[in-house]
This record gives sequence, structure tokens and C-alpha cells, in this order.
Amino acid sequence: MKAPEFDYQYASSLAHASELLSNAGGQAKLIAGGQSLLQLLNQRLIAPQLLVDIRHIDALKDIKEHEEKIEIGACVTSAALEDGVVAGTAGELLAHVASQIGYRSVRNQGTLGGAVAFADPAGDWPATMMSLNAVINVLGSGGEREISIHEFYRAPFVSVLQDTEIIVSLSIPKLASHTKWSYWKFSPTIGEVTKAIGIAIRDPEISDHRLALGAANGIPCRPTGIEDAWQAHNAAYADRDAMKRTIAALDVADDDYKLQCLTIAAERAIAGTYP
Amino acid sequence: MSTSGIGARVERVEDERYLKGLGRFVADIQLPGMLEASFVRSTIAHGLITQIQIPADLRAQVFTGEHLSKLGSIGADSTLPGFQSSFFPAIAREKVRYVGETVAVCVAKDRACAEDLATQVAVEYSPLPGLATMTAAIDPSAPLLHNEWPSNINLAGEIGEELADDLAPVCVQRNFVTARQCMVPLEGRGVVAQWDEGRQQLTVHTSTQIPHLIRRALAETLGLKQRQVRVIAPDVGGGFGLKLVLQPEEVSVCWLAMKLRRPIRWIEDRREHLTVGANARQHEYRVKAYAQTDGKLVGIDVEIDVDAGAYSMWPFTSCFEAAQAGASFPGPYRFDHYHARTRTVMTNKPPLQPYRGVSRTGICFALELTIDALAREVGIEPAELRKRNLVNASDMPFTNVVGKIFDSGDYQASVTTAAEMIGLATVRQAQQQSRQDGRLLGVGFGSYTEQTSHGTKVFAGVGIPIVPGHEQARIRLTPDGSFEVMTGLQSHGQSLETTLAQIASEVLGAPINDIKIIHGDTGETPFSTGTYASRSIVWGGGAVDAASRTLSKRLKAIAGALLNCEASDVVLDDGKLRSREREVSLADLASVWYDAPEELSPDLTDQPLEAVGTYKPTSDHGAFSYATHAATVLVDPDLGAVEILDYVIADDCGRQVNPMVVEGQTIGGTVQGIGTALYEESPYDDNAIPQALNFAQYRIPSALEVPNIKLRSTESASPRTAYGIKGVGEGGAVSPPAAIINAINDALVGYGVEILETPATPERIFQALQQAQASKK
Repeated sequence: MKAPEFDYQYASSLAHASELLSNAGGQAKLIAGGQSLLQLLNQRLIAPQLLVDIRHIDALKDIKEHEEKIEIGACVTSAALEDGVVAGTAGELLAHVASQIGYRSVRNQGTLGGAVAFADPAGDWPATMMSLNAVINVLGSGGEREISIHEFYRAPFVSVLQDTEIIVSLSIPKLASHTKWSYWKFSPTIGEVTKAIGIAIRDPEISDHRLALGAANGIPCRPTGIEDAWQAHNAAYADRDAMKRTIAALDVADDDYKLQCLTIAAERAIAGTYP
Repeated sequence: MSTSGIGARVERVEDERYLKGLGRFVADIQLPGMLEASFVRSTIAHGLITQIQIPADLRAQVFTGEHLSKLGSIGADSTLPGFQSSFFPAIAREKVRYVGETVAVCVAKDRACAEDLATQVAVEYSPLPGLATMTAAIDPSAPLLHNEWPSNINLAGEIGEELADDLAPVCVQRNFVTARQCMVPLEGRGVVAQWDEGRQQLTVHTSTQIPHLIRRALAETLGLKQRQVRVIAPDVGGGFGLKLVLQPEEVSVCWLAMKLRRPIRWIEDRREHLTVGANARQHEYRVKAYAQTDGKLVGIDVEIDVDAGAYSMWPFTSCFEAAQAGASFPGPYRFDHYHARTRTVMTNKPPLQPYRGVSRTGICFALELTIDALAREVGIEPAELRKRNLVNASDMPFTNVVGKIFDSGDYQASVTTAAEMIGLATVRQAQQQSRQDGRLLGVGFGSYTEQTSHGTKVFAGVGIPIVPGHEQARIRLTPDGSFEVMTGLQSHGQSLETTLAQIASEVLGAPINDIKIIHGDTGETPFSTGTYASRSIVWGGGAVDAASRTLSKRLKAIAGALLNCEASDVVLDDGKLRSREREVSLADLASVWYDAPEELSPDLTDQPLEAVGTYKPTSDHGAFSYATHAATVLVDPDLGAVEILDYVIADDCGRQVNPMVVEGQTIGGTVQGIGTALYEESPYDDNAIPQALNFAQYRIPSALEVPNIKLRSTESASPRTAYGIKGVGEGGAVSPPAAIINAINDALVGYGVEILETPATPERIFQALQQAQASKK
């Protein structure tokens, strides 16, 4: 299939992009890497009147290191993250996650901000950002605002982002160098809709135990019940039945197999932080 | 005498243009004034069309089945007794029978605009229940797909008589299911048609395996003489059987070109392919295998149902596959009692097409899993059980239980070789220890024999209306001393431009770079039924050989005159004709014959430097290629995930014309077979609505999932064919589901679980494990 007719505008700056969105009456879509958008467009599943191309706005490609956090521009590609543009332990985690996304050609185009905005529950970045307690910096017609990743998603493919808002960057709290992390993903074939994602982060010095699950039936989640049990256990936590009960209670698995995959994701991600 | 003749590992002639992106496919063809077509396709599986609303201003651009109502059926009737005939319209009229069936066609300046038109055509239906499964279709209360039939069973067949329950002391019984699949060639289907009103000539570029048959079918359907139709298959990016039939879109596009007097193009997109291309492999088997306690097979009783979809496509018919399945089920084994019941059942799905391996992939899966089940039942190593039952090399030629006559080969040796390559003994040892990661190791085998290059009687026996007689090839020496070879076959990945040139090179001594193979154009080539059934290298090669020999004789006679020696003393070598003392180049010889004929006697100039050769193998049974595939897998019992650790093939396709081409064909087919085994499936919901319409849902193996496939070949020459060559195009796709799923079942043996269905997805394996656990409790 071919895309329906649409207009295309190249945004020369963030302000220009914001203006184009504001003037489009909700009929515009931002395009960055286009790895998801073009597929939807070509299947005629969406029919925006206008595409606003923000790929070449330099301000969206900045990476700024602050004392407590790293701010990553929305148009930084997965390939750049894979290649290590972000320093530190969090950067290593980002590089590994990026390397697990589809193929290099997809990573060359796909952007962090685009993936977060697309809100695909099976995407690699939404669950990863949740594990990292990321904050999303957004520019709208009324100015800038910050949204916690934990308040960003409403439903699969639905976020709180307004039609006129642009994700500018993501702020990620730094991880201490002794932090152990593990990313576990199950896709029987590369590029297939992922069946389960588990990300575990463990900082033994401050007893920080984090677990995020992705590719659930619903938005990515932090199963706090498992995190608490893990923290209390304070060692390689592997009570599969308890984990399964916790995940079942979260109502993120529509069937037995999804529940099993998410449980194994939790178990193996946690185990991965004890190398 | 040639360094690029039979057996030479020469690089492919085709590679230069393909690797540089210089191939010319249907979608590369642009004609002045060309319009593009987009089809409005049925969104329901079964129902009556009550109304088609076309906006008034679009009436010159949108056409429905009513516009094409003068055309006849584009389907095929089987000649088998009891076959139920159906009318297959190029564009649906009155009734639709599967999601994706064409309901109207829109033309515009480009595809996007044509799709815009399609969204403005409103089709109203009065829905009928969609028949998604054979079980639903044969239910007495099911609505009839074709009103005039007594039931939805297209044809039932039977071989032999039912076997007695006490035939042998051991009986294993299993039911198998294989999923519906798409063929997914790199290049989808596509057609460009142009009508020349002045010459009353239709020129059709179409992505097909059978240009001459498509010419015939288009002429008959459109009411033209065959001389008025020229069909050209340019570069074709894979066929696999998808392009082996008359396609409804081909007919509609040609009709439009004649009606509108404008060139019309239609290019299939992936979504269309995954919708209407879900046309292959869906079978069900109920097998009873009888054996002695030592595992010797005594008899097999099998019921085979084939889900043929909604219509019977031309020329291979809806019933070809079930007929072949019944006749081929005994495989490479020796036993004395056989009974088969086959049914071809119509459902609300796209019409069945023969996919690489045709029924053999399904029957190999069912038979080889039965063999492993028997091996477990009698407590014998599966590889050993195979060897006990495979036909002996010393018994060749061997007439099997259904009267197929195998020609040559050592089937048992292929098992021995595969077992050695896969390290069977080492695997059995490793299985004694549990792995740290909790995964389970398994090993599996899949053996087959494949009737290739079969002839007239075999095709007549499966009821298709087109039966190959003799293959033809034409060869000419051009005035500069190079050769052109014309074949009505079509090469769409088989490398025939290389391998047929190698055969001509073998006879004529010229390097293959001086031999051009011209194919895929009815205007330039002699009639052929085309490329299918692993026949082209045997039939086409034999015809090229015959034509080359005829021409060689004439060249030697001329050379004898020029070199002043006997024609019988002339040798063709490296582009030259040599006597003991002297030589003349092909170029010089051609120059004399074409440009200075006065130097030759009339008995040399009245013999053309073009020759036509004909060929068919000496037996209609064809030549039987065979192989044993073996795989080791690791199964994760927590997830049902499968990793192929190692994959080996011990195969034999007779004399190899080019070993690299054989390897490429075998590996390519094996990768498709891995898709069948583990990934590929076109599921339907209860109303026969397809559920996998993109590549996130319809999974095909990529380079990242495919293991390094190891090959070891033997060459058992066929006594029935020129040079002992056997066909090899399909074999790779036959065994993988059998070998891989046998390996999975071997891994799961401790759990009491057997997977009896393709594809063996993680979810299916997990569920089987859950059920086994539940039944233990």
C-alpha cells in the first residue's frame, strides 16, 4: 500500500516545529526516524494532513551531562546510544539495550524520543526509561514541562503528550559505577513483536532494587511487589511462584503464556544482576 | 572438453547484474502512458455481494466483475474422477469466497491515486458463515462454497484397502497438522500489459515461472489467438510455486489494457501477499504405522486432508496436492501394505498453490515424526530404525508399495553420513548431563526421497490439464562465433543461465561467457510448460544437450572442410575446432558460413547453424533425489523457545552440474523449511479472517536465526537422464520441519511431550508442556 496524501514541512528549529504543530489543529504528526510512523502511514492506519520533520534540529541531538543526571536529546538515534555517546554506567545500559533493537539499519534511523513518544508497549525504550526513572522534558505551546516516565503512559500507544507538544529530551538519573544491571528480552525472531522484556538494576550500597517489565498486555510496568520482595531478600531472588502471583495481580498478562514470559523475564533479569 | 562444463564450480553468470542492482523486474518496467491498478478486495471471507457503489465521476476508472462477465472461468478442472468443478471469476461476481478476493479494480496515474479511488468504492455484502477450517467446511450444516456441489469436499481419493488392526504386533498412531503458509518471494507478483491496437497484439510482462502456459491461458480467457499474445517473464525474484498459476490479477490487468488501450501495471505489495498469498501447506494427517517388534515397517494406513481454499487454480488444480500426497506418502521406505484416503476440502481461504516441495514437506513431517514415534515405541535409535527400513542400495531400481520405481542411490548411507556429521554419539552422551541453563538438548532426523523431473504419465496421474511431453531447446551460432540458447523454461533463482550454459559448454567446448541463455519470453523461445517440479535442469539440460549435439555435428562438418580433415577428427575445445594439426576458431568458422558462403560447398551451407533439440527422461518416473537432514536443538522448557544448534544435510541429486548452485538451492530451500518448522503461519479467526498481515505477525527466518548449514553430497547418477542429473530445486524445503521437530520431541522426551504441529512456536511447545504436566497431576 501507499501512503495517503499529506504535506511535509521541514522544521528548522524547535520553535518552528512547535509553531507548525500549533497551527495544524491536531492534524500534524512529528517525524524523526520514521521507523514506526512510515509503516503506519503506508498501511493507511493513520492519515495526518502534515508531517513535521524534526530530524535535523541540532538542539534535539544534544547530550548534556549534569551532576546528578544525563540529558539526552530526543533525536539521538539508537545507533548513537549503541556506539556509546552516553558516558557512565547508565550509558553502558543504554548502549546494550540499543544493540538489541531490530537491526542496525533500524537503529541508524530510530530515535530515543520517537520510540518513547510512540508508546509501543513492546518497545525497548519505554520499559528501559521506566527502569531508569527518566523524566521527559516537553515543549508545548504553553511552554516547557517535565513529565515523569511513570506518569507518561496511559495505554498501549497512548501517552499524556498533547498534539502540540514535542519531546525535547530525556533526563536520566546517573547510576553509580558499582551498579549491576541486566536486560533480558525474548523475541523468537529478530524484529518480531517482543514477547517479554525484563530490566533489573541493583545498587547494593544503597539497597536500590529496580525491576521494569515490558511487552506486557498494557503499558510497561514496575512490579513493586517483586522489587520489595527482592529488596527484602537482598540476594538473588528467584521465587518464581511468588513473582508469577505478583505479576498476575497487576493484570498485565492476558493469557498463561504472557504471564509465564513476564515471570521468566523478571526472574532472569534479576538473576542477571548477580554475574 | 571444457573448463566450464558439467561439474565445474563456476561463478554464476547472473550474479553480475543482480549484485549490482541491474536486474530488470516487472516493477522496473515503465511504459509511456502507463496507468497503475489497485484492487478492491473482499473484506469478508464468505458472502453475497449485494451492491457495489462507485461514485459517478469514477466510473471510467473502476471496473467490477460485471465488466468482465464475458470472460470464462480462470480455474482448472482436474481430470480425476469425482472432481467437483467450480467457476473461478477473474473478479468476483455475486459471491466472494475469501478475504482478499478481488471485487473491483481501480486505475489511476499511480498506485497511491489508484488506492485513493479504491477507498471510495463501497461494497455491501450479505455475509455467510466463513469456513475457517476443514472441520467446519465438512460439517453437514456448513454453507456450500459452490452452490451446485453436494458438499465442500472437492475430491476424495483412495489407494489400496484398509489395513487390518492386527496386521503387525506394533502399531503407532499419530495425528499431524501443518499450518497454512505464504511463500514470500523477495519479489512479489506483478504484471504490466500493453495492447497494440494496430497489430492486435498483447504484450504482457509478468512475474511468472511459466510464460508459455500463461500465454495459452490468457489467450483462451481473453478470446485471442496465442499468436496475438506475447508473455515475457523478465528477471523474476523467486517463484516457489506462487508464480506457477494463472493469476486473477494477470487476467484483469490484460483485460484493462485492451479495454482502455493504455499500458496497465499492477505490483503486489506485501500486505496483499500476506492476505491472498496464504495458499500453501495446510494439511492434516491421521497415520497408523504397523511394524514388527524389531521396528521393521509392515504397513501404513493414512488419511490425508488438504485445505485447498476456495477455488481450483489453473493449471495445477486444487486436487494435485492431495493426489501427490497419497502417492508419495510411503517416502523412501520399504514396506508391503499401504492404504491412503485423501480429501481435498474447500474453505474460505485463498486457493491452494503448490509450494516448493509441494505435498512432500507435509508428508515428510508426518511420516518422519511417525518413524521417531515408532523408534521410541520399540526402543531403537531413530537413525538406526531409518536404516532398517530404508530401501537398500542393492535393490535399485526399486518398485515401492505404490509402484513408484526409484532409480538409484544409497538412502541408508545418507542417514549414516548425517548421523556422523551431527555427531549422534556425542549428542547422546551430552544428553546424559543436564545443562546449567536448564535447556534440553535434542537431535532429530528427516529423510526423504523426492521424485524429480517426472514425466507425462505421472502428471496425467494427478489429474492436471497440462501434461509435459518433450522439452525443447534451440541453439544458434551467431556470426561472431558465440552461441545463443533459447529455452521456454524460466529461471527465477535456479541459475539456469549458468547451468544450461555449462551443459552447452560441455558439448560445444566454448566457455560459458560465450553462451547466452535466452529464457522467459514466448516471442523468442520454443514452447515449454515451464519451471516447476524440479524439472528444469534435467529436461531443459537434456534438450540443450540434444540441440548442442546436433549443432556440434554441423560445426564439425564445416570445420572438416576448412581444416581439410574428416569431421570425425574435429574436436571442439575452448572456442576452437581442432584437427590433429590445425585449428579454426568458432568466430572464423562463423564468419565463413555467414559472410563468405561461396567458400563452402552447398551441402554445408544448406544445413542451418541453428538447431532444435528435444528431450525427455527415459522413464516417466523421473529421477529420485534424496537426502537426510539432521538437526540438534536446545529447548528452553520455561519458554518453549528453540535454538537450532547445528544443522547438517547429507544429500544426493545425481550428477551435479554446478556444485555451488546445488548448495545454494539446498540451503535456500532449507531456510524456507526452517520457516515452516518454527515460524511461518497464516492464522485465521473463526470467521476465516486472516490474522497475520505484516511481517511482525507473519515471521520468516532471517540470517540471524539461520544456523550455519553443513552439506555433504554424493552423486548417484540417474540411469534415466542425460548425464545422470537429478532435480534439486525443491528438496531443501522438504525435511527441515521433520528434522527440527523430531529434535524438539527428542529433547522433550523426558516430559512425555510430542509436538505434532507446524510451526513449533514457543507458545505451542509451552502449552504442550503445560498439558503434559496437568495430565500427570
